[in-house]
Amino acid sequence: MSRKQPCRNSMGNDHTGTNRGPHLASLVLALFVPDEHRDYLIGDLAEEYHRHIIPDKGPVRARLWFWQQVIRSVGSRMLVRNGFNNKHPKHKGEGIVSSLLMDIRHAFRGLLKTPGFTTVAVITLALGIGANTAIFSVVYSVLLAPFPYEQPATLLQIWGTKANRGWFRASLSEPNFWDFKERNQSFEYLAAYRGWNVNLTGDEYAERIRGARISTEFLRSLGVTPAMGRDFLPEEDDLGQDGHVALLSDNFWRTRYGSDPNIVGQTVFLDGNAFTVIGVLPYDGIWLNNAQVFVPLVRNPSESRANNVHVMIGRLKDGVSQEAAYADMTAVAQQLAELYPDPNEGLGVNFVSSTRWRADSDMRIALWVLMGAVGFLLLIACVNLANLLLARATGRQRETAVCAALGASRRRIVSKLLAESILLAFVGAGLGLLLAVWATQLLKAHGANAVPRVEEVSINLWVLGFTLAAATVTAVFSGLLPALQAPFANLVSALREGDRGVSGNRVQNRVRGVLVGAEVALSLILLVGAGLLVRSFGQLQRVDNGFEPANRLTFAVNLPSTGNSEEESQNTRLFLTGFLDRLKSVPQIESAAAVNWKPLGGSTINMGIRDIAKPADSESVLLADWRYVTPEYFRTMGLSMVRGRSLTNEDVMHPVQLPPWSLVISEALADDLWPAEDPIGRQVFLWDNEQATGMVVGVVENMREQGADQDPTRAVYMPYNGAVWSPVHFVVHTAGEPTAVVPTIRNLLADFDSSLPLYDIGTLDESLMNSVAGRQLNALLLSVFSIVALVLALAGIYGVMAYSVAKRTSEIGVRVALGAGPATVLRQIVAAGVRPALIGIGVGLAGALVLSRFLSNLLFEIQPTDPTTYVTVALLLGSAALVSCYLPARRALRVDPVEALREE
Amino acid sequence: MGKGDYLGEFEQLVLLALVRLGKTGYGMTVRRELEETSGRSVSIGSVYTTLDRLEAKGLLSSEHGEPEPIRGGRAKRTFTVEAEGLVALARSRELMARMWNGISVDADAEIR
Repeated sequence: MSRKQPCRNSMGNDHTGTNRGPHLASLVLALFVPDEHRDYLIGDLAEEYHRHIIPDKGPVRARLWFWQQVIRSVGSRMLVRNGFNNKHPKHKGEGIVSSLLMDIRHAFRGLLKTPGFTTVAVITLALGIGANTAIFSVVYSVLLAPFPYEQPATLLQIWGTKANRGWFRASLSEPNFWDFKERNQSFEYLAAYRGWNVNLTGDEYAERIRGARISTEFLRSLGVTPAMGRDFLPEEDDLGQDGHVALLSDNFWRTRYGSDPNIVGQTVFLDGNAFTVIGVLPYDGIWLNNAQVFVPLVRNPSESRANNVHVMIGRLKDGVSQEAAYADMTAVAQQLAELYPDPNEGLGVNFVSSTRWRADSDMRIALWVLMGAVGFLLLIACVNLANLLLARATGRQRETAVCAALGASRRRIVSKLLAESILLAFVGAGLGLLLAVWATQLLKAHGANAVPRVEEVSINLWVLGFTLAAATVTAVFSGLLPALQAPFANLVSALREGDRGVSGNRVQNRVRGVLVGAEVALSLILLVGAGLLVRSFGQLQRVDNGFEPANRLTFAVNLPSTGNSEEESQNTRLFLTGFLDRLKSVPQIESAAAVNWKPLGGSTINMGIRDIAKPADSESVLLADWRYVTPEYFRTMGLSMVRGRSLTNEDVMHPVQLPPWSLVISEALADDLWPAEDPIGRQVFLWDNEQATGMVVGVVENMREQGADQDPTRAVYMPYNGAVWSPVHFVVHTAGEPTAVVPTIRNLLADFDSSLPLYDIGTLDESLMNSVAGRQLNALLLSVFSIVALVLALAGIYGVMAYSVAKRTSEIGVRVALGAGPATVLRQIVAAGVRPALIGIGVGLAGALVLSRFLSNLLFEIQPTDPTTYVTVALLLGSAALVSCYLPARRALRVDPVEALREE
Repeated sequence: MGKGDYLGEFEQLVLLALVRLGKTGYGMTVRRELEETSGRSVSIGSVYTTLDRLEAKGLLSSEHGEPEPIRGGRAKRTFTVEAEGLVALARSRELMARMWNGISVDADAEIR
């Protein structure tokens, strides 16, 4: 009492400016107290809180005190009829609402009296509803949220195809794009997008950012206007009149420029060139946050028709169908193939509806599977609650019978019984919501590689609505069964059975058996699903990737463009040899190599390759990934040579103009090009181009670069002979922890050329993890859900068994007293309990066989009917059910028969 | 004399607290008075529920005051004990005294 302090106003973020109590607590109170009483009540609490409680107890305990006051006040309002509202007493029979409120108040009181039951029920429901809310919030943001563009039906993505090469989703070259745009009749707008890695310079430090070149109609195709400033003008794609203008992404404007309202008109330096910012884009979650800065795609007449790096989107003209547009674009593609047969042979198009832009089909399937899994989980929770309520209602049969005998209508009795489940469902939903908020935070922090646009996931009004609906369904589903079991017809026997009637009649026992069976069946289906995903994830881990991911660091360096290809080629060669020498001089670095494409980066580049002895028909052209590499690439990646030799420095220094180049190819490509023949010394046409020949000098072991679930890559490795390619990626094999050498590498690079930023730093282990992040998350989530389901189901079985055995204690006592052997009695009790569980296992196995085929796309080298999984899960569930039956039965047998009989 | 003419225990405590506060007080001061005298934790909600009931019985009256900054800009509702309230207290005490007449119980003895 003596340590009076002045009222402090710095207890946290609760009271900014005004003196109020903890915000959320006041809100809860306001929710339950009618308007006319709210003001003085909250005022009193706030005053006491600041004037006495905080100085006396300190901020933490004061907050606890506040919450305690709120909860108890709300509780006393529930307990006392009409609560604070005594001045306006309600009349009886004012309608169903007031009687329902009365029932809920009654139920509240009843639940407080049995805290154990209430806690178990609320936690069960919180888990079920929380998991549903969390998964639904992801399903909503990925699949259901309003599409960010108008009229998505007329918006398409257009890929190139070359059936003769096996390309079905290929990018297009710039000249082809302009020709498609001018020759087609179907699209109001046709626009292109090209990724552009660029160094942002001119400030205190250089930064590598993601840029995009978009044709000037790109935003108009989407139907999007800049949030600030203006769109590109149609003439801003002319080579001569290039105004060097740029649009910033919403996120880049906020983080890099602190939401500067005067950003329009300012200058940014990209690769050393000045660009004027003309606007800021809105966030769309699809295209406009893919890059940080957007500049016009300027028409470049010298751009190669074979450089397929542009993605096309189109907005259909009014009244033009997708089919008509497809026919039109295919005709244009054929014209282009006839006009430019060399790069365009076999050219076609492929449309992807914009509704598929947000999630591919595997993602959709995975999300619906998870949604189904949490639906099952909620069902199990409901069944559990129904079981608990049923046992409770049976125990109260006499009370209910008395009510009915005294003239309570059937509706009133059902409503009274429903009130408990309604109250439990909504309290459970409240807790579940908190659980879901926490889960989505966790997902945002760790799930970025597994869920697209995870940053958009939030608990919004739709999700709240879903939670409300789930709570209502739960309340009705789990409350109705016990309510319908209430005695109406047979009042006399219900009254007469009295306390002895509590073991329930035959119908109720059967209902309980069905509920136990349903729980077992549902959790078995979930466990089988989880088991299949976990096993296929295990298969994936066992796949031999070829390379060694441990202790490998990867990073990238962006070499700025000078506009002179001769000069750039020279620069690249100098940079590579110089920088690699310095890297190798670092003691912790065992080997280092450069490659023109990020290893395990999740994408690839490929070319057509043909034996020079074969005719130029489509059958002899094979598609292979290609990389420029420095000689130590194979050693650094941990790949061993199978035949011939590796690349050498002489190969790298060999003049580009003098083919054939030396090549190393992967085993898979060697087997496909020359089955059962020695590939060494053979010559091929690269890019299916008769000017570019290469000679195979070695064969290297396969690697699964596109992920462990993909076939081994057909690959061709060419010496990094001055090809102009930016960014350049490096792989470094270190003696110890790979990230430990990052500062050293940074210093080496700064010494070499301080204008070059080091970026995209990571380890091969991380890249490998990212490539399986989605599968891992699916397996993890489904496992968590099925384990929760298993625990709930076992708790349900145990509860039912414990309950019915406890009610039969005296019967057991009589039987033991009459000479029945304990073993016989035990067997009978356990058999009666296990029977519904066994039926549940049978039904569950059948259900799993039917439902598991929805998983088949998500599985790897595991059949949806994998017998190992089914048998393991059935045995696991069966033995767990046996234990849950055995424990209560054994306890009942330990009771002294004399004790048991005396109860009678 | 009907059942409603006597006060319940908590009603008595609340009325007495108000009298001890000088016949005028508001919910939080009544609550603190009760907590400090009885040593048991009391919720503000139950205090107001009882105050409302006593007002409905005409034993006390209430009025709303002006908003105050320390209360987060919210007004106070002050209660004053009416003459009927004092009468009811006296009657309850008289009844208790009559019932206690001739009985002697040691509060500590109960615990042992």
